Order: sequence, then C-alpha cells, then structure tokens
Amino acid sequence: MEPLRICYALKLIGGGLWGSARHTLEADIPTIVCRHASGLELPCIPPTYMKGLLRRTLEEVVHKLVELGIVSSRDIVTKLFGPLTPMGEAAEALPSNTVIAPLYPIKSAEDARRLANLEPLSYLRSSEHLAAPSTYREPHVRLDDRRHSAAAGALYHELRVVPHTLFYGEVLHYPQSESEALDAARALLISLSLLNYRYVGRTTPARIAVIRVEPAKIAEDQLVAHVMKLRSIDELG
Amino acid sequence: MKGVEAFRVSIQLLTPTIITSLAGYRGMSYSVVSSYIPGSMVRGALFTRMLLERLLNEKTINEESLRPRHAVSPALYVPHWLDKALPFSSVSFAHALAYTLKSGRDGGSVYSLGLDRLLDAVRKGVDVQRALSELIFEHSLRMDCKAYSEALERPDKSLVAVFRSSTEARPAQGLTIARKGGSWLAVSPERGIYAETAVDRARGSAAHGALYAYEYIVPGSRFVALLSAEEGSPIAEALNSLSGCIEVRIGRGTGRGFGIARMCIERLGSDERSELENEEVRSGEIVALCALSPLATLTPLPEPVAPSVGAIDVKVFGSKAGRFDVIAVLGRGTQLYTGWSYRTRSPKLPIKANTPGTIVIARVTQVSELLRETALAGINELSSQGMSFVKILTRDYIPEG
Repeated sequence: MEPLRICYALKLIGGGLWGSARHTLEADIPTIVCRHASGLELPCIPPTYMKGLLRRTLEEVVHKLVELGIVSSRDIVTKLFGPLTPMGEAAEALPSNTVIAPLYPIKSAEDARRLANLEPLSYLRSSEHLAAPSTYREPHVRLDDRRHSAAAGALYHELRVVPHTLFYGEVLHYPQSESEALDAARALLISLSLLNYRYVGRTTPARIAVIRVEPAKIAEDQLVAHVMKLRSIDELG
Repeated sequence: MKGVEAFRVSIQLLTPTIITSLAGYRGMSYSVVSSYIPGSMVRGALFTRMLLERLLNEKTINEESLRPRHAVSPALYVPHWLDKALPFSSVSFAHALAYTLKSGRDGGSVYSLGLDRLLDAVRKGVDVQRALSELIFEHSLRMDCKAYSEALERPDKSLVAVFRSSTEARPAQGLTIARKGGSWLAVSPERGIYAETAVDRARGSAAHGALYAYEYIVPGSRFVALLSAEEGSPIAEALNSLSGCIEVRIGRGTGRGFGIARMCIERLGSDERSELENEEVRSGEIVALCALSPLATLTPLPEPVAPSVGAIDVKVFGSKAGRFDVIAVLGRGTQLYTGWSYRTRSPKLPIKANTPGTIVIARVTQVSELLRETALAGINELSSQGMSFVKILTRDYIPEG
C-alpha cells in the first residue's frame, strides 16, 4: 500500500505559545525551541502537541462521522493514533502506523507549496526554506480569587511567537488496506480542518491550510477534494 | 557458502531520537544510550521500511529471522570532523585495555595499556593475570614519570603544576571512539531533555502527577553501521536494488515525531572491505578477539564468553569458519539485552552478553577462509541482532599512552 501523506500549513492569528520546561531569562514561560537537523534552533510546534490535538478532535467527532458514513468505523482513532492506555499503565508495544512530524516556521506560502512537491519529510533536513520568526514578551498577571484584582507577586511573562507566522508540517500514515487509507485521509483532514475552531497551543488560535494529499487517488475523493478546496492555502491570506 | 556482500549504513537523525537505556519510576522517564544505536534497532527500522516499500515480503523476513543470512552491526556515533566514517575503522569501540585521563588535559584522548605487549607475554607462557598486572604497574610508573618530568620542566616548577599533571585514569572500555589525526578521541552526541505532561481528559488540563520527561539525542547527529548479507540472498538483492536514501523510524515515540531518520546504504569498496577483514591467522596461534558489539556465544543458548565456556565455534551465516579455545576474558562485566518482537508480538529471548570492547585471549584451533569475515558478518547467528561482531587482533589499534 502506498503511504498516505498530508502536507499542511498553519498560520498563527494570535501570539503562539507551546509550553517548554526550559529555563530562560527572557520570560517565565518561554515557547518551545527545536533543534533542526541542520543545526538551527528555532521556535517550532512539537509533534507531540499536534498528535494530541488531532486525536482529541477526532475523538470528539468520530461518532458523527460514522453516523454520516464519512468513515466506516470508530476504530479509525486507534488505527491512526494507537490504543488509549489508562494513566500509569504501560502502553501496548505496537508499531505506530502514523508519523506526525514537527512543524517548522517557513518564509511564505510559496515555500509551503514547494516543500509539498518534494519528497516526504524532506523539510526536516533542508534549512533553506526556514525562517526564524520573531518572538515577543507578553506580560500577564494572575487575579486574586477573593479580591478580583491583581494578586501580589503574580506578574509573569510569556514568550510568544508573533502572529501571522506560517508553519509547515506533514503527516504520514501507512494503511493496511485501501479502505483504511480513505478513512484515514478523511478523518485526518476533518481533524485538521477543525483546528481552526480551537487553540493549537496555549491560547493560540490559528488557521489551517491543506496543501497536498497523496496518493492522487485519495486526493480525488469528493470529500477530500472538498476539504482541500475549503482549506486552501490561498484562503490563509 | 557463497561470499559476503557488505554495505555501509549511514544514518542522520532528523528529529529527536529516544533509544531507551533505562526507564525510570513507573516508566515515566527515560535515559538514552547515546553513543551507539543497537544493531537490532537498525535492522528493525530498515526491515520495516523495506516491507512497506515491498522490497521484502513477510515470508522472507520470517525466514531470515529463523535462519539469518545477514548481519547488522551497532550504529556508532560519527563526530562532525569525519565526513565519511567506516565502523571499526575510523569510529569504533574502545577495548578493555583502553583508558582516558581523568584530568582531561589531553582533550579526551584514549590510550591503551598495550595489547601487543600483553599478547607477547602470553605467547611466551606468562600467566595472563600476572602479565596484565605487570603491564599496569609499568605503565602507571612510566606515565607518572613522564607527566611529572614534563611538569618540572615548566618555568614555575611549582608543586601545583606537578599535581595538575595527574595521570589518574579511568577505564574507557565500550566508549565510542573516533580517529582524529594519529589519536583516538572518546565521542558522544549532544543530548537534550523533552518534558511532557499527560492531559486529564475530563478536565482538559495537566493530569496530576503525570509530568514526565525523555532524554533524547539531538537531530542532526550522525551514526554509521555495517550491514552484510550472503551473496545472492533476498536481503542482498533488496539492498542492491535500493537507490538513494530512505526515511526510517528508530526508537521510541515514532508516532509522535521522535526518531525520524534518513538512512543511506552503499556497498563497501574493496579498500574499505580489506580494512575490516582479519589478518591471516595460523592454527595454534594465540590472538586477541576484540568484541565490536555485545558478545555472546551459542552453547546452544546464548551466554557471555568466559573461560568456563571452553571453546568458541565460529560460524559465518551458518557455515563453519573456525574455532578458538578461550584462555582469558578481559572486560567490564556483562549486559542484558531484552526486546520486543513486532514480528511475533511477544518478548524476545533475553540475551546476556559481554559488553562491547571485551577482549578474549584465545588460541586458534581451526582455521578457514571465512574466518577473515568476523568483523563483517559476526561469529554466530546473533550477528543478525547486532551482536557477536569480533575483530581478530594480532596488534593493538589504540596507541599506548
């Protein structure tokens, strides 16, 4: 079976923050910084975040998708993201059939189209399209629950990525059958599409654009084509 | 048996990679093996990809697991100054007689106590333990004298300078070492820590007590391994038909974006092959066998090599290649390999093995042409899981201190 590949872009419409455990003098809560294979260090969206978001979004709507006949079974969540294990228990050792790669900031929508035409995941090793976005400090103050005014000593700063930054990422899925490939494509595209209506980081709103879906046979599916048209990169502005 | 085809496997990590060495409390934190990737992981990543690309089918993989005609060495870390590395030649494991200086005044160079002199003494009939203790004593004395005389030649001639020139050493066995100029340096990739918290599904915020962290190897790190297969076997044919590089997934958390790597496979040239082939040995000769990976012998169950084992039968892809009588084993203990088989969906047979760099002093009792290939194809079928690669040393590859 040919792998399913979805190339997508994400444009921030507010300041972007993905919490990091790193200590810095710049802010109390800095956004996460990733090391690219080329050696560059730049703000990124970790795939662990994206996987959690996509899984959760799909879990919320999967019953409706089954009802409407868009996907054949609710098992698609497990097929895409693995079995859910109760807290504290070891996960079942199964090979994952889905790869969610990190999202890196890029210069323009044109770059996103160019990357989507290259080999899968080639953006992870080439740095020419990358653009380190600016960051800014956003001050916050926690409110005192009783007084409803600023709590003493509760001023803190967040380090956020500037709005309008464009990120590029890819999702690969290795299906076991053709019907699974179609279900997976539909489920992933709908999850991605729904991220327009929720935060993709810490109070971080964004718009999603789907740039390319492979194999071509899947991209021709009516629903897939419709979502791609609806979430075209030209619509991001 | 047909000949052995050998390939270099170059790996570049594209995302953070977790090669679990130790799982902490309730499995919530992980430390990584950083300076090499076990051969079994390299094989798993490659075979999975070949299966997906339909270069191999499940039947072939099952046959190769039961009767292996291939070998995969551990992938060793390649430092930035080496453009193209060859395992066990420009990068290798430090052997049991290797050490580094604690003071670090020589930039992490690795020295040897002198395997050549040890072998000479054993060949003359000196007991191994006695020869080794004399070697260590002489060596320390010589190193101290050299360091102190250098310190006293300094203009200040102070006692501080003498103390700073301490030659206190620490064993280096099993460290990944890389050639730089005429010396060997201990190397390891940069590591980072990634913290995550599980989300409580009811509250949608961080779950109580569920903060956990992974240690990872940073993206951009490079590794190199050896892969060999019997000429004409399905694996050799599939490797020959692979063009360019492929993306593979290695280690833990690959669904979450960890462990994405680029793997390039190329056939070894004749010069590179000859560097890895053993020199000719004669029956009755005393040699040192240096473990280039975890080392276990099959009796018939896998067990670490020890004098009590008696003899080691060498088989290359199932064909008898030679035999050694074990005289002594020099090394720092054993390690336990455990794993999970995706093929059988069950735990693998745990294997206790000597650590990489272990030196086995042995007498050659049977020789054949295939004995030259032990660094490429291993000494038994465990080489298909990244174990039992051995180089027959007639002279030391690490310079004396």
